[in-house]
Amino acid sequence: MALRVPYIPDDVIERDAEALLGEFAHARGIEVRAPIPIEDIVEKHLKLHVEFDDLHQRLGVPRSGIGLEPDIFGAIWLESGQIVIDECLDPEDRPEREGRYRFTLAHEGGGHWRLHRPLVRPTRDQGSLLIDAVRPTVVCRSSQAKERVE
Amino acid sequence: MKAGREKFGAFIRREREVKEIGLREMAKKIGVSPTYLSKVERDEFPPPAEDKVRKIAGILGLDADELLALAGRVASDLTDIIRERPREMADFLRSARGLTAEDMARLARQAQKAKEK
Repeated sequence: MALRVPYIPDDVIERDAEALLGEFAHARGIEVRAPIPIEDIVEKHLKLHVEFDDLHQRLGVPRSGIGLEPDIFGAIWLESGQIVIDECLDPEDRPEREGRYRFTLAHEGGGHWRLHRPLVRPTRDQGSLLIDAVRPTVVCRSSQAKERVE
Repeated sequence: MKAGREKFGAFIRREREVKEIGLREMAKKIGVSPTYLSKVERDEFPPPAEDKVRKIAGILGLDADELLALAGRVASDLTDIIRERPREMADFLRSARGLTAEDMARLARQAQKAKEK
């Protein structure tokens, strides 16, 4: 079932991002400076489970990116708080993809989790055993990137 | 350490998250890639080599021998000890089997004293 999301204006997104950074800084008693500690925010503050995997294989989706490179970089299960990053973005194996990895983690955790989780009925207590049995709520594919609409 | 029937990967993942250690942070400390650690934590890959299991135990503050047992391994120094005197050590271990933890601790203290004489 597709998740229908309302349009969220840029200023609302920016305010939420600032609020998240403020919450994190307050909780940790630190001043947040660049580079933003996105892994700590997602894993330790938002308490989301992060994994790496071959997302095309896991989701049973054939590769369709340029040169059949992976074009699914991240997915999130909003019901359980699980984020899976495609292993092609492993920042230790592929240091040149550090930026894309950080962006994807922020996109899933800072974006979808913060902005779209309220749209999903919470069932987090069901635990992680069911995670692999259900499809992710959001699959982020580079081939489906949309043009900005003003 | 209470792993119960939990598998190695699921257990270390839970312990890591309880101790607020990030996946990449943990992988770096062990000396593996985050993707590899992810697969171990999902029990898709078998537990890593003994030295890495020992590192994991150290990072998570767990008993290395218990974690090795959960990984389905016996510490290499123990297999060396048995190989040195296979008959006596086998007899000793078989005799000690079934003793309570307290009895074994007492026996270990007596063995230590006997060596110091």
